[in-house]
Amino acid sequence: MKKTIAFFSLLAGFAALPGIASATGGLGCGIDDKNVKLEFESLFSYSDIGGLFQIRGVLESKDKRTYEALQKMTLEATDLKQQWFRDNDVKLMLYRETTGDGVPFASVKLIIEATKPPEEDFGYDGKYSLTVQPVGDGAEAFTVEGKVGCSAG
Amino acid sequence: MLGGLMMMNWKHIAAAGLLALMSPLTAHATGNADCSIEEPGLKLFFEGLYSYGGTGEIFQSHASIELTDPKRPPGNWTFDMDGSVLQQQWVRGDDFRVLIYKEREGADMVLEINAKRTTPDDIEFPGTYKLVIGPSDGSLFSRTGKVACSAG
Repeated sequence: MKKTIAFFSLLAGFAALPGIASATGGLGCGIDDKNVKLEFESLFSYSDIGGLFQIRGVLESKDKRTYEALQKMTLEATDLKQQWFRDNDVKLMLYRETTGDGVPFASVKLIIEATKPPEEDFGYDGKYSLTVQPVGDGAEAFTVEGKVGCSAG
Repeated sequence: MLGGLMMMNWKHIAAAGLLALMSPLTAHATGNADCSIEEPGLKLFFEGLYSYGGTGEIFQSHASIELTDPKRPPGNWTFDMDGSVLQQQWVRGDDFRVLIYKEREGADMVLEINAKRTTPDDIEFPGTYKLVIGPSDGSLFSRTGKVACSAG
Protein backbone atom coordinates (compact mmCIF):
# COMPACT_ATOMS: atom_id res chain seq x y z
CA MET A 1 0.00 0.00 0.00
CA LYS A 2 2.80 2.38 0.90
CA LYS A 3 4.39 1.63 -2.44
CA THR A 4 1.15 2.47 -4.23
CA ILE A 5 0.74 5.74 -2.36
CA ALA A 6 4.32 6.70 -3.06
CA PHE A 7 3.85 5.88 -6.73
CA PHE A 8 0.77 8.02 -7.16
CA SER A 9 2.46 10.83 -5.24
CA LEU A 10 5.25 10.60 -7.76
CA LEU A 11 2.82 10.76 -10.65
CA ALA A 12 1.08 13.76 -9.11
CA GLY A 13 4.42 15.49 -8.90
CA PHE A 14 5.11 14.83 -12.54
CA ALA A 15 1.66 16.00 -13.53
CA ALA A 16 2.53 19.38 -12.06
CA LEU A 17 5.56 19.73 -14.30
CA PRO A 18 5.03 22.10 -17.19
CA GLY A 19 5.31 21.05 -20.79
CA ILE A 20 5.23 17.30 -20.33
CA ALA A 21 3.67 15.44 -23.21
CA SER A 22 0.87 13.06 -22.30
CA ALA A 23 2.69 10.01 -23.66
CA THR A 24 5.10 9.99 -20.75
CA GLY A 25 5.17 8.08 -17.51
CA GLY A 26 7.13 8.34 -14.31
CA LEU A 27 9.75 6.04 -12.87
CA GLY A 28 10.75 6.45 -9.27
CA CYS A 29 13.03 4.46 -6.98
CA GLY A 30 13.49 4.77 -3.25
CA ILE A 31 15.88 3.51 -0.58
CA ASP A 32 15.94 4.38 3.08
CA ASP A 33 18.02 2.09 5.26
CA LYS A 34 21.05 2.39 7.51
CA ASN A 35 23.42 2.89 4.57
CA VAL A 36 21.62 4.80 1.86
CA LYS A 37 18.79 7.21 1.31
CA LEU A 38 17.64 7.62 -2.26
CA GLU A 39 14.78 9.56 -3.78
CA PHE A 40 15.05 9.08 -7.53
CA GLU A 41 12.48 10.43 -9.98
CA SER A 42 12.44 10.48 -13.75
CA LEU A 43 10.18 10.51 -16.76
CA PHE A 44 10.07 8.04 -19.60
CA SER A 45 8.21 7.82 -22.87
CA TYR A 46 5.67 5.11 -23.46
CA SER A 47 7.36 4.55 -26.78
CA ASP A 48 9.45 1.54 -27.57
CA ILE A 49 12.53 3.45 -26.48
CA GLY A 50 11.79 3.98 -22.83
CA GLY A 51 14.82 6.10 -22.04
CA LEU A 52 14.70 8.14 -18.85
CA PHE A 53 14.83 11.92 -18.80
CA GLN A 54 14.22 14.82 -16.41
CA ILE A 55 16.20 13.03 -13.75
CA ARG A 56 15.93 14.47 -10.28
CA GLY A 57 16.21 13.42 -6.68
CA VAL A 58 18.66 13.05 -3.83
CA LEU A 59 21.25 10.38 -3.08
CA GLU A 60 22.70 10.18 0.39
CA SER A 61 25.46 7.85 1.55
CA LYS A 62 25.21 7.59 5.31
CA ASP A 63 28.68 6.14 5.81
CA LYS A 64 30.95 8.84 7.23
CA ARG A 65 33.88 7.58 5.16
CA THR A 66 32.16 9.02 2.11
CA TYR A 67 33.81 12.25 0.96
CA GLU A 68 31.84 15.13 2.39
CA ALA A 69 30.85 16.65 -0.93
CA LEU A 70 29.45 13.31 -2.06
CA GLN A 71 27.60 12.33 1.10
CA LYS A 72 24.38 14.00 0.07
CA MET A 73 23.92 15.13 -3.49
CA THR A 74 21.13 16.45 -5.60
CA LEU A 75 20.89 14.23 -8.65
CA GLU A 76 21.42 15.57 -12.13
CA ALA A 77 20.95 13.98 -15.54
CA THR A 78 24.69 13.52 -15.93
CA ASP A 79 24.77 11.30 -12.84
CA LEU A 80 22.83 8.60 -14.68
CA LYS A 81 25.65 6.81 -16.48
CA GLN A 82 23.85 3.67 -17.57
CA GLN A 83 20.22 2.64 -17.73
CA TRP A 84 18.16 -0.27 -18.93
CA PHE A 85 14.42 0.13 -18.62
CA ARG A 86 12.86 -2.54 -20.78
CA ASP A 87 10.18 -5.15 -20.30
CA ASN A 88 10.22 -6.02 -16.59
CA ASP A 89 13.73 -4.77 -15.86
CA VAL A 90 14.94 -1.59 -14.26
CA LYS A 91 18.70 -1.20 -14.13
CA LEU A 92 20.24 2.11 -13.20
CA MET A 93 23.78 3.24 -12.54
CA LEU A 94 24.25 6.56 -10.78
CA TYR A 95 27.81 7.78 -10.43
CA ARG A 96 29.57 10.92 -9.38
CA GLU A 97 33.19 11.65 -8.67
CA THR A 98 34.98 14.69 -7.37
CA THR A 99 36.12 17.29 -9.85
CA GLY A 100 38.20 20.43 -9.74
CA ASP A 101 41.80 21.47 -9.30
CA GLY A 102 43.33 20.27 -6.08
CA VAL A 103 40.30 18.24 -5.13
CA PRO A 104 41.21 14.68 -4.12
CA PHE A 105 39.62 11.85 -6.03
CA ALA A 106 36.57 10.27 -4.46
CA SER A 107 33.50 8.70 -5.97
CA VAL A 108 30.09 7.23 -5.29
CA LYS A 109 28.44 4.64 -7.52
CA LEU A 110 24.95 3.32 -6.96
CA ILE A 111 23.72 0.37 -8.97
CA ILE A 112 20.06 -0.59 -8.92
CA GLU A 113 18.75 -3.80 -10.43
CA ALA A 114 15.05 -4.46 -9.98
CA THR A 115 12.40 -6.52 -11.68
CA LYS A 116 8.64 -6.35 -11.79
CA PRO A 117 6.94 -9.45 -10.41
CA PRO A 118 4.19 -10.87 -12.63
CA GLU A 119 1.47 -9.93 -10.16
CA GLU A 120 2.57 -6.30 -9.99
CA ASP A 121 1.22 -3.54 -12.19
CA PHE A 122 3.63 -0.78 -11.16
CA GLY A 123 6.07 -2.05 -8.57
CA TYR A 124 9.61 -3.33 -9.03
CA ASP A 125 11.61 -5.05 -6.30
CA GLY A 126 15.34 -5.45 -6.35
CA LYS A 127 18.70 -4.82 -4.84
CA TYR A 128 21.15 -1.99 -4.79
CA SER A 129 24.86 -1.79 -4.28
CA LEU A 130 26.60 1.42 -3.33
CA THR A 131 30.34 1.53 -3.92
CA VAL A 132 32.19 4.38 -2.30
CA GLN A 133 35.77 5.40 -2.97
CA PRO A 134 36.90 7.46 0.01
CA VAL A 135 39.59 10.08 -0.11
CA GLY A 136 43.14 9.35 0.92
CA ASP A 137 46.20 7.36 -0.02
CA GLY A 138 45.48 3.71 0.45
CA ALA A 139 41.83 4.30 1.25
CA GLU A 140 40.04 1.30 -0.14
CA ALA A 141 36.68 1.40 -1.79
CA PHE A 142 33.85 -0.29 0.06
CA THR A 143 30.45 -1.52 -1.01
CA VAL A 144 27.19 -1.72 0.88
CA GLU A 145 24.12 -3.52 -0.38
CA GLY A 146 20.42 -3.58 0.34
CA LYS A 147 16.94 -3.61 -1.09
CA VAL A 148 15.32 -1.06 -3.38
CA GLY A 149 11.79 -0.48 -4.55
CA CYS A 150 10.80 1.23 -7.78
CA SER A 151 7.50 2.20 -9.35
CA ALA A 152 6.70 2.98 -12.96
CA GLY A 153 3.56 3.85 -14.76
CA MET B 1 2.50 3.07 -30.50
CA LEU B 2 5.51 4.05 -32.56
CA GLY B 3 3.44 6.33 -34.69
CA GLY B 4 2.56 8.33 -31.63
CA LEU B 5 6.20 8.91 -30.96
CA MET B 6 6.34 11.73 -33.42
CA MET B 7 4.22 13.75 -31.02
CA MET B 8 6.50 12.95 -28.13
CA ASN B 9 8.88 15.34 -26.63
CA TRP B 10 11.89 14.17 -28.57
CA LYS B 11 13.93 17.18 -27.63
CA HIS B 12 13.74 16.07 -24.00
CA ILE B 13 14.74 12.53 -24.81
CA ALA B 14 17.54 13.54 -27.12
CA ALA B 15 18.82 16.05 -24.60
CA ALA B 16 18.84 13.43 -21.86
CA GLY B 17 20.66 11.00 -24.09
CA LEU B 18 23.20 13.58 -25.09
CA LEU B 19 23.78 14.61 -21.52
CA ALA B 20 24.38 11.02 -20.55
CA LEU B 21 26.77 10.53 -23.42
CA MET B 22 28.63 13.76 -22.84
CA SER B 23 29.72 12.86 -19.34
CA PRO B 24 33.28 13.90 -18.76
CA LEU B 25 36.01 11.48 -19.55
CA THR B 26 37.93 10.55 -16.48
CA ALA B 27 41.28 8.98 -15.90
CA HIS B 28 39.77 5.50 -16.01
CA ALA B 29 41.32 3.12 -18.54
CA THR B 30 39.30 2.72 -21.70
CA GLY B 31 38.69 -0.16 -24.04
CA ASN B 32 36.80 -0.79 -27.22
CA ALA B 33 33.24 -2.10 -27.40
CA ASP B 34 31.57 -3.18 -30.60
CA CYS B 35 28.75 -5.25 -32.03
CA SER B 36 28.27 -6.56 -35.53
CA ILE B 37 25.52 -8.21 -37.51
CA GLU B 38 26.28 -9.69 -40.88
CA GLU B 39 23.55 -11.71 -42.47
CA PRO B 40 21.53 -11.59 -45.69
CA GLY B 41 19.51 -8.41 -45.75
CA LEU B 42 21.21 -6.72 -42.82
CA LYS B 43 24.66 -5.54 -41.95
CA LEU B 44 25.28 -3.48 -38.86
CA PHE B 45 28.33 -2.28 -37.03
CA PHE B 46 28.27 -0.48 -33.70
CA GLU B 47 31.41 0.72 -31.98
CA GLY B 48 32.39 2.85 -29.04
CA LEU B 49 34.78 3.30 -26.19
CA TYR B 50 34.05 2.26 -22.67
CA SER B 51 35.77 2.69 -19.34
CA TYR B 52 37.16 -0.32 -17.54
CA GLY B 53 36.81 1.33 -14.19
CA GLY B 54 34.20 3.69 -12.88
CA THR B 55 30.99 3.29 -14.75
CA GLY B 56 31.80 1.00 -17.67
CA GLU B 57 29.61 3.11 -19.90
CA ILE B 58 30.00 3.28 -23.67
CA PHE B 59 30.84 6.70 -25.06
CA GLN B 60 32.02 8.21 -28.34
CA SER B 61 29.97 5.62 -30.16
CA HIS B 62 28.90 5.44 -33.77
CA ALA B 63 27.15 2.91 -35.94
CA SER B 64 26.39 2.06 -39.52
CA ILE B 65 23.58 -0.02 -40.96
CA GLU B 66 22.87 -1.52 -44.35
CA LEU B 67 19.34 -2.87 -44.43
CA THR B 68 18.60 -4.48 -47.77
CA ASP B 69 15.86 -6.84 -46.61
CA PRO B 70 13.30 -6.83 -49.45
CA LYS B 71 10.53 -6.36 -46.89
CA ARG B 72 12.07 -3.18 -45.49
CA PRO B 73 10.07 0.05 -45.56
CA PRO B 74 10.51 2.29 -48.60
CA GLY B 75 13.53 4.56 -48.72
CA ASN B 76 17.25 4.46 -48.16
CA TRP B 77 18.17 2.27 -45.20
CA THR B 78 21.92 2.40 -45.59
CA PHE B 79 23.35 5.13 -43.41
CA ASP B 80 25.71 6.04 -40.59
CA MET B 81 24.72 7.11 -37.09
CA ASP B 82 26.49 9.12 -34.43
CA GLY B 83 26.46 8.57 -30.67
CA SER B 84 23.19 10.40 -30.14
CA VAL B 85 21.28 7.30 -31.29
CA LEU B 86 22.40 5.34 -28.24
CA GLN B 87 19.35 5.72 -26.02
CA GLN B 88 19.93 3.02 -23.43
CA GLN B 89 22.83 0.82 -22.44
CA TRP B 90 23.74 -1.69 -19.79
CA VAL B 91 27.28 -2.95 -20.06
CA ARG B 92 28.16 -4.51 -16.77
CA GLY B 93 29.41 -7.88 -15.65
CA ASP B 94 28.32 -10.44 -18.22
CA ASP B 95 25.64 -8.20 -19.75
CA PHE B 96 25.99 -6.18 -22.92
CA ARG B 97 22.75 -4.44 -23.79
CA VAL B 98 22.31 -1.57 -26.18
CA LEU B 99 19.23 0.24 -27.46
CA ILE B 100 19.59 2.37 -30.57
CA TYR B 101 16.91 4.70 -31.87
CA LYS B 102 16.89 6.63 -35.12
CA GLU B 103 14.24 8.64 -36.91
CA ARG B 104 14.58 7.85 -40.59
CA GLU B 105 12.41 8.08 -43.70
CA GLY B 106 9.48 9.26 -41.58
CA ALA B 107 9.72 6.17 -39.41
CA ASP B 108 11.08 5.18 -36.03
CA MET B 109 13.84 2.60 -36.05
CA VAL B 110 14.58 0.77 -32.82
CA LEU B 111 17.40 -1.73 -32.55
CA GLU B 112 17.74 -3.67 -29.32
CA ILE B 113 20.81 -5.78 -28.68
CA ASN B 114 20.94 -8.27 -25.85
CA ALA B 115 24.27 -10.05 -25.53
CA LYS B 116 25.80 -12.01 -22.71
CA ARG B 117 29.28 -13.25 -21.96
CA THR B 118 29.29 -17.00 -21.56
CA THR B 119 32.86 -17.44 -20.34
CA PRO B 120 34.19 -15.40 -17.41
CA ASP B 121 36.65 -12.69 -18.44
CA ASP B 122 36.05 -13.41 -22.11
CA ILE B 123 35.80 -10.36 -24.34
CA GLU B 124 33.17 -11.97 -26.58
CA PHE B 125 29.46 -11.40 -25.90
CA PRO B 126 27.25 -13.43 -28.24
CA GLY B 127 23.60 -12.44 -28.30
CA THR B 128 20.50 -11.55 -30.21
CA TYR B 129 19.07 -8.44 -31.83
CA LYS B 130 15.60 -7.18 -32.59
CA LEU B 131 15.13 -4.52 -35.23
CA VAL B 132 11.76 -2.78 -35.44
CA ILE B 133 10.85 -0.01 -37.86
CA GLY B 134 7.50 1.64 -37.36
CA PRO B 135 6.38 3.77 -40.27
CA SER B 136 3.88 6.52 -39.65
CA ASP B 137 1.13 4.50 -41.29
CA GLY B 138 1.23 2.10 -38.34
CA SER B 139 2.65 -0.93 -40.10
CA LEU B 140 5.71 -2.55 -38.62
CA PHE B 141 8.80 -4.08 -40.08
CA SER B 142 10.73 -6.30 -37.71
CA ARG B 143 13.38 -8.93 -37.81
CA THR B 144 15.47 -10.76 -35.27
CA GLY B 145 18.73 -12.60 -35.38
CA LYS B 146 22.10 -13.09 -33.84
CA VAL B 147 24.69 -10.48 -32.99
CA ALA B 148 28.32 -10.69 -31.97
CA CYS B 149 29.57 -8.13 -29.49
CA SER B 150 32.93 -7.69 -27.81
CA ALA B 151 34.37 -5.47 -25.14
CA GLY B 152 38.01 -5.40 -24.24
